[in-house]
Amino acid sequence: MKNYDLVIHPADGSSAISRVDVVGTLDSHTVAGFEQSLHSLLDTGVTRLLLNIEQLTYISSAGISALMGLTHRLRQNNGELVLLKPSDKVHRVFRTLGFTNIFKIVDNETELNAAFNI
Amino acid sequence: MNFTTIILLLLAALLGFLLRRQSKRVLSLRYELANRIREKSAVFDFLNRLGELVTTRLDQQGTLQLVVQFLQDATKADAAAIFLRQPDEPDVLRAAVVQGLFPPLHKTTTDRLLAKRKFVAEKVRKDSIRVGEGIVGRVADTGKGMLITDAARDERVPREASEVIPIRDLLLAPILVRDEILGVIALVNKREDGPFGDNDMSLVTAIADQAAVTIDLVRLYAELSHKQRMEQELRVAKEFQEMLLPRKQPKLESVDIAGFNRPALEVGGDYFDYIEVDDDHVGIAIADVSGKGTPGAMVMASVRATLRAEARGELSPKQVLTRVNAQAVRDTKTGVFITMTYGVLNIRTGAFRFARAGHDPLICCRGENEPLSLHEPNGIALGLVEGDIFGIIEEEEISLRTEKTIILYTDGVVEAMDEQKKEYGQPRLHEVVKTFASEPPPRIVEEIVRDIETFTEGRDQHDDITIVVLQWKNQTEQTTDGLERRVATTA
Repeated sequence: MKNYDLVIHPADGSSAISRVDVVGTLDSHTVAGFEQSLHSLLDTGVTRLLLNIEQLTYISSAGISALMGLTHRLRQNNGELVLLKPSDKVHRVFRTLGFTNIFKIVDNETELNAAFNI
Repeated sequence: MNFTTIILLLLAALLGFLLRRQSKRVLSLRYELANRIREKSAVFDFLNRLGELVTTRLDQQGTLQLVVQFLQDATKADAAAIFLRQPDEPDVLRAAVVQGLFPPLHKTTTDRLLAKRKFVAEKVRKDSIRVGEGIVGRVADTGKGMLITDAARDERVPREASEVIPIRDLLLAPILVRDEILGVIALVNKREDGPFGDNDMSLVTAIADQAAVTIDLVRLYAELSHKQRMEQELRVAKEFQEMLLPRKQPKLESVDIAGFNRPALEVGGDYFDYIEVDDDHVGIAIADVSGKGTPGAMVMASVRATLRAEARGELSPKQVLTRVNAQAVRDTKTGVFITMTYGVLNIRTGAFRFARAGHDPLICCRGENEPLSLHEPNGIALGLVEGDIFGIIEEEEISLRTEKTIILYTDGVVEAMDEQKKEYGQPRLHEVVKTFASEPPPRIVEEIVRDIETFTEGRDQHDDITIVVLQWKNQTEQTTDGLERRVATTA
């Protein structure tokens, strides 16, 4: 598996959910690129962002700060960020930090519409 | 008139003639000498001023200005320019100084706009030249100068450039230092005694060497300054962080406490603290900030100050953390957060009431090889959410008297990595704790740190490691007349 990769899918027409797959590690080395790509995506007017983190193996506090930044920005525009299928390890990190109270986290696609309030 | 007289007169005339010619030569030699002396003093003067600029101010722009002006005067060129390689753009040259109306030598496309002279000046000043592109680029690439005495007949000179500003002759010399080509000096159209010749080339080359020294020095100095500044910043941040930590452990009758902090090579932001809440209560905090370096240390200092202010006289950790969070949300940038466990210890009863703002779980162990209990009450890291969501934070109370030993730590412990990038992890930490739980807190700390070092095998420490251990002292002792007495053991 690559050390870090980002796959941006074209937005799904009807519900306008933009899906991005985050692969590998999100830490102080990769976070700058991550932020740049995602904020550019938000610049195009995306308000519903789905981050598929099934293949995210590690996230540092820098990565978490980046997710917070995205969430904050989206919510300011009545949008939402949803995290899909975090690994056990990553989910653990979110739980300890209390981020399960802040982020919308879902374990399968059927929960997506509800998470985005569609 | 006799024959002798005629000869004498002729001789006199010849002598006179020769003398006059000689004196003319003397005069012209004198004149040339005077000129040479003036030129030499001009050169000395120039070199003096150059030296001053280099040693007193390291002023690159000033130096280049001086150089280009001098060369333009000395060689009687219509225009002169110095092009330098850019430190942040590989293989790119830009004009550093331009004197006179200098033709654009780099673009080979005709541009109507170039017909206007003022656009020419703009163009020369702003445009970039790729190394290898055009004659300037070629000199920057090969490091070999060019002397073009008849530009009209030389195919190296772009036609289009000459259409804008007629070019008759050109002199280009590389600026070299050691093996590196720093840039190019270019002179155009010698006004008098033209075209440019070998003398001019020698002069320009000699001056180019001087200019090279300055440019190099300025560059080295800039790099050094940057490095020094970074090192200074790290030093300041480290000192600052050290100021945040308690210098010694509190001496309590009933409880032994040991605290440990080892910052990583990259300055992080852990801290721990002991706070006097009132006569019977001590506040104990351990925290980890998400940002690194000076900004992280500043956030930590601010949180520490707020905590100390709110903790005095307040027995509810939930209250304290709620107020600290409110301040942190206001103070920190979006995304910056602090994990913290804060507890209030009753030193008489041993009750430890604590709350966990997103921090690592708290470990309890009653003794060697006893089962561990882990405590992770609900809570969110500080600095992220307003009071209404933050309010989900729970308070929990543990009896230190019953549980005997409490261990608090930061994620630098469990996330310490070995050569294979494997993490130290909670299970291994639990093993060490179990093994040494009956030992005094300083020993427990020592063993944990030693085990982490064994595991990481000298690999650089990536994150701050912080550990705080609380242990209830064995206090009851039977006296000879059967009364139980509290004995303060010396720490």
